Amino acid sequence: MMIFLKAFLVMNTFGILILLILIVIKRYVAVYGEYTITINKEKSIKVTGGQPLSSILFKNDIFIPSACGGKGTCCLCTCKVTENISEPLSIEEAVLSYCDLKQGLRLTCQTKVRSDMEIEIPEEYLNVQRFVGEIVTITKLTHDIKRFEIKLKNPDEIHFKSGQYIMIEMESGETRAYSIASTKSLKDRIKLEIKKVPEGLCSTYLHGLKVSDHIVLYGPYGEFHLKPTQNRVICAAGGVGIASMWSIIHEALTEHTDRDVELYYGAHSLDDLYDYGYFIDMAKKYPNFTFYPCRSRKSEVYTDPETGYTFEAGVVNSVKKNFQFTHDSEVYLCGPPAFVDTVTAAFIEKGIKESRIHSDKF
Amino acid sequence: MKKLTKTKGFSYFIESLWYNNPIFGMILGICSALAVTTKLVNAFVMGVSVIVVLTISSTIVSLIRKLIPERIRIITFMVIIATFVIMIDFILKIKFPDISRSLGPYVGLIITNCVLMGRAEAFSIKQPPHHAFVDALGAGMGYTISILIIAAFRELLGAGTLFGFTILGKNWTKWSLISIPSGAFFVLGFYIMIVNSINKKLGINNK
Amino acid sequence: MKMFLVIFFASIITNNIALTYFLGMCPFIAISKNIKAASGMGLAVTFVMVITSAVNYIIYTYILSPLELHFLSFIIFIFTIAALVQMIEMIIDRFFPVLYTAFGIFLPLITVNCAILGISLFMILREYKFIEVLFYSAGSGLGWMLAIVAMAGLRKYMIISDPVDSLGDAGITAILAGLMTMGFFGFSGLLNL
Repeated sequence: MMIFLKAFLVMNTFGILILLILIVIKRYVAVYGEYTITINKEKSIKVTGGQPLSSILFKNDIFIPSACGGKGTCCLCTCKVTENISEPLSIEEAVLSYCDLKQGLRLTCQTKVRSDMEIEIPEEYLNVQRFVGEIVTITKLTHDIKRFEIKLKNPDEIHFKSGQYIMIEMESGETRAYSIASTKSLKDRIKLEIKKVPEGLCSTYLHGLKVSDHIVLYGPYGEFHLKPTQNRVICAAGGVGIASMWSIIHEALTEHTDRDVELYYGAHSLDDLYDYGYFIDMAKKYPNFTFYPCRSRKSEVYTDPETGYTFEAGVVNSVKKNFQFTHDSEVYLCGPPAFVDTVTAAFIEKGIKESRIHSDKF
Repeated sequence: MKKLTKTKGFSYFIESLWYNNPIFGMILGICSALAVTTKLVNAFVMGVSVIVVLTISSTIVSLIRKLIPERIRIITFMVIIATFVIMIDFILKIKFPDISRSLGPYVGLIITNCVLMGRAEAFSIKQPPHHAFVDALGAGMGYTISILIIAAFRELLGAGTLFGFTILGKNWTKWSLISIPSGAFFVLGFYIMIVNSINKKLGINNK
Repeated sequence: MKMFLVIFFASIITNNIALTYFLGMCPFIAISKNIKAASGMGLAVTFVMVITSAVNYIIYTYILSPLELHFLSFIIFIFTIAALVQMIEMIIDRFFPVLYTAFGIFLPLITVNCAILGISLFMILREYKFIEVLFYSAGSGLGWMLAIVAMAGLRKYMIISDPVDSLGDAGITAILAGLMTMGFFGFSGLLNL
């Protein structure tokens, strides 16, 4: 009995001693000075060092996007350090190329602030805001895709370019990116189309929400948006990639009325090709809009008796068959990485230059 | 019986027994798999100890999962696992002193055995106790079966015995390569290869 | 002095903790893919190993032994290791950022590395004195680093060679490790430990 008592006492004293030592060390060692971070040569913020750059920027209302929760794998949080460039960490070396690192590109979620720094981030990040929204409607589109309509409460308006995305913040603080699936004319609300991924943290979280639940999001982000040129707009979407196309197609047809628009929209089967009826109606309404629906898991062409539309066997085949190259064509792609790669190759084969192809991979 | 096989618990059990088997599925707990497999009886005792500690600690972690603060998660797991490892080590020292001596410090190393930490971190902290228990049982049994097979090879070919009983008589030349550490690595490598081929034939994709 | 050097070299070559005693196998298989990561991990392991072994020895000899609480050694050692790793991480991050760039990210993974706890347990088993403990832990750490860096170098060539598909990463690493061990075993006549 005595020995258990002794053991208990020793363990507890030991535990408490270690805890005290750790607290003391944390207070006196993990103390970093005050530093100034200059952003884009215009904004300066005073911060306490020791933290990763992304959390410091976040605290100062500069919302750097992130899709991996700060683990250093998604590369969305990259910034360019122009003064006092630190040595790259091995995590950064694993995901950024040698040229990028030599130019000063670093991951803000990994680089810690240890001195005054001068960084460059995309200008639009300085306009990104934190929104609190309320879910007003949830529509089931297919067996695993839902559309969420979110009314923005605070602030109550968002200004974005067609094709941009927002970041949804989960309860754990981690964020994930989703394209805005509504037109920019709806300023006080946005729509999102979310596919439930079996191991996906955020899609599982979102699919578990109900109407009138509140949601936190940051935005707008993204260099994937409709360019204000006079070129033909050629869109290709795979599955839920159609989400980013709504706003692009709508803006091109309603605001840039003399641009031709083509849409190649493919999904596994007719059931997954949600809202294709809407695009058929749009094609009737706008003579400069052509719609090419496709089914990617079937190898035969299918003609719908009601509408007369032919569903090609896959977007790549549809592009090969139907796309006519013109010098004023601009391509916008959105879908899974494999989809984007194969469709990009198909368009390049048809003569489109890589600089004219804009893509958004999941 | 059929109803039992359809329950979620059973699917977790089979998943951690075969698909996420510690040794060839997730490549965890290799340290002890190589060290104790010179004799079948050592492997058996080690396997049973791992099953006992794993199931008890996983269940406890699952029972108190709502109370553990995020920051000291790992330390809590370690304390729980360490307590039971000390108990098991004590029992072994008293009841089976020879085996305890030949296992040496490897019983203590169950604490840092990646299987236990891995299951606690990935599974027990998120699931209710009955699921955590069957998952731990599956992982433990998968681990034990794997090391028993490896140990059977090493003891049979290296010493001609199984569990101490002479199988391959006096004329059998002992394969000394298998009893030394290199042999452990080779047997492990071939074991992984055989299991992966079986998985491929059955069309199971572990990754 | 001779005894110390014998312990040092033995723990690197003939009694290599990774290849002979199979300690620290999980990161061995996982991190031996590229040389830079392997050397970073090896440095981290050596660094932590020396410090924790020394501290654990002091605790064992001056606190646990007099009170006859040997059985608590498992739990006390793992506590010390966890606490020391945290302290080391904080100190290095603050005062030696160069070291942090080299092996800082591996430090949290080391707490559950069997090698660190294993060395502490082995040194108790073999009843080493303090200086012997220092040489032993330094040698073991460097030996582990040698094994993992050599393995990383070998695995670089695995990209251009064509092993059996079903071996996978772990299988080929195991076979290579076995061959490496045989190579190291060739030195066993050199040292008598």
